[in-house]
Amino acid sequence: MSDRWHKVSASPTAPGVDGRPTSISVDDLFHTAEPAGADLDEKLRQAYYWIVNRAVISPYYDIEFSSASPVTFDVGDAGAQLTLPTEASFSSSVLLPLLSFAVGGKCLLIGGPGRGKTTVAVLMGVLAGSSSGEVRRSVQQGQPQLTISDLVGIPLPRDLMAASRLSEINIAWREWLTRPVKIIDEYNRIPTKTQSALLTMIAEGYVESHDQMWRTNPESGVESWFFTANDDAGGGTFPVIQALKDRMDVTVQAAGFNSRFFDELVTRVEAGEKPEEHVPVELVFGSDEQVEIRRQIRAVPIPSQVRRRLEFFFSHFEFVQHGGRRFEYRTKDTVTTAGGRVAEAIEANSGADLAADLGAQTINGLSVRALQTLILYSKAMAWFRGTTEVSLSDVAAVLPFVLRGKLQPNLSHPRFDVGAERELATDPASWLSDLFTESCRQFVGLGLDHDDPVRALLAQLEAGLDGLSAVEVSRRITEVESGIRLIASTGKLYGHHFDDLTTLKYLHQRYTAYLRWVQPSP
Amino acid sequence: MMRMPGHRANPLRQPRTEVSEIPAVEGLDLVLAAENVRRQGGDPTRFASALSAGFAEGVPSERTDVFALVSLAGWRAGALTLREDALVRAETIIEPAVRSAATRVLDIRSDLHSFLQKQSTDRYWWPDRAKYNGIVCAIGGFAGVGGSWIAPPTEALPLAEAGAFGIRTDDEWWRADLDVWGVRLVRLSAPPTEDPDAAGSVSIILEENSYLAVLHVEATP
Repeated sequence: MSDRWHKVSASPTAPGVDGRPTSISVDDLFHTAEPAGADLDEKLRQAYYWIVNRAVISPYYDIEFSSASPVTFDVGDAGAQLTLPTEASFSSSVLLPLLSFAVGGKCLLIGGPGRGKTTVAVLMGVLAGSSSGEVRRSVQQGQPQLTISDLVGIPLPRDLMAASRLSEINIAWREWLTRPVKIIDEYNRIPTKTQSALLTMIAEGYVESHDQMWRTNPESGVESWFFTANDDAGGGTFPVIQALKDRMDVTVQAAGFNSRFFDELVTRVEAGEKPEEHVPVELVFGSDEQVEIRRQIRAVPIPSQVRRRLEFFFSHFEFVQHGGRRFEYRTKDTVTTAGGRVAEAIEANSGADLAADLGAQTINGLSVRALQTLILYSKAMAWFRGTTEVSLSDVAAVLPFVLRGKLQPNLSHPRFDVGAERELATDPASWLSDLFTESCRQFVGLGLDHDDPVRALLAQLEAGLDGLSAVEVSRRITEVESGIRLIASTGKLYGHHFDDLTTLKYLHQRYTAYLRWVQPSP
Repeated sequence: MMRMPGHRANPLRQPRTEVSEIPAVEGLDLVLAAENVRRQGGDPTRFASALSAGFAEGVPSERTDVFALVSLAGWRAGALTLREDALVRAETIIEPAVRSAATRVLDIRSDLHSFLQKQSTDRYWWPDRAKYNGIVCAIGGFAGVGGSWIAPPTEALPLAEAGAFGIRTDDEWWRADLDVWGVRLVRLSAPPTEDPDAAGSVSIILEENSYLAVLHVEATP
């Protein structure tokens, strides 16, 4: 076996604990005293570095982390900038699939043919403990004739003949259904009906055929899905149904080949080797380790200051001024579900500053599912980097990949139509990244990091109503009304105002209901 | 000078032994032991090859000898925390065949007694050190290619404990614990306290623009 594959980082990739080493005895080698997963983040980092340095040749560091000002170079004459980050940075086309494997998520890998999309997905399958042959065999190739039976299995012909009712028909379920890593190649070539069956599998964790049900979760309960497509704009043999698209937790663009690594390619061709056949055994994760990783990731806390910026970011997108007549109905969803065009409703709003109104750059709002995914992947990123809590950098790093395809750009907005900004129309990751940066800038500009009256009022309510006097409640109602009056007095309305006003109305309802209870009318 | 992190005592190209190839010993889960060696910073495949070499002429009949060889194999694989245990257990080996097995585990061209004697006063010694002009190992390396550091080391201090050094990379301080086979690097939250008397003939060599810190032992006359 060639030794060149078996180089795993020997030193810790991100140590975080101080102190001197504690001696152990040989007896300790035979105990599992150390809880499974005490150093799983280190193992995942080693897996990452093995993949980028040995397996897929990906010298791209597009997920950047810097604690100080990074050095930047202006290159070319079209505004391109090359940044040298000050902290360990990562390649999205490997890291996001790896985080999807860690959280049990669904990852869509997009890009032209021969860019390593399927290889990365197969590597995830091998990391989960299957052999490379098993993983390759269980890859489902999307093609226009793919039926539900091809995908899930067939009813046994003997039972079809003899059965008097559906429940008597046994199904020969396909083996891939219960693998911890499931790979669907070229999912945009699958017929619409089969896509719907796939959606049930992904969304509900089971498949149905002839009234029989089969759970697709592996024994550990952690399953991750990898889809590949060479188009993300509605192309392919069949358009992908929106509900299936929405289930993709992250969308990642596969990186192209860097010509400077041609020698390595020649070596591989000469040796006839495939990286997935050489995954070091020490990088394989057992099912208990996969469960433990997910538990640890979910336990990473998101501090208050990060939550506040995230909630401010989310607040921009649902509201549209001319979306409806009643205040609560002035949303993009109202327009879309009624068959209207959100871009036209945005265009009609002459009162707001389009440059400041981040919500005007999108034609939809964010789903709760997308927000949950963003929370989970931010935690995964922090855990992967070996930090104790989620930072704004972790959120900013995963946000473009989570929201790609979910937050749709309003291409008639000046943002996508002026000079160099046109580039953003075809580069959703950079646009989403800019959107988050601008939102954080506005958050600081509005002074919300140290003075957020609506948050303070919510915190008051969350402390409980028990024992509050009628006088105190009346004082709070006045405070709520003055908050509403303050926003109304500005004359302009943006997304974050919409959420604040809705919240203030909610507070008003809660307090007035309480007041009616403590102060019954005579 | 070395160009990659690693110990000079470890051959650059060594036939790889999988953990699953370790000879079975009744009542001992050596696969679990290999996993724990990895958790202690060692290389499980090196543990497997060291132990396989030790058991090549049969598994010792005495349980204490088996444990001594396992401990030596773990230490040889780079698990620095096993160092004291391995040295103590090696002293208890009496049977000549087991002593010979121990030298195969350690992969040294000297008898066990003289190796242990040298190690008791010089934790960086192995028979071929002079051949490498006193260079023992290179540690750190650029994080982007699987190393530990994102900036080159610029300062190294000897610390009071044997084999311990403080190393600064940009504005971060690290503690490095080293010996002939292993290294353990941890990031420190505050600069460590230097003990100028601790280093003796041992020094950490730093080169401008290199991400490696190289441990060198001055030849004794």
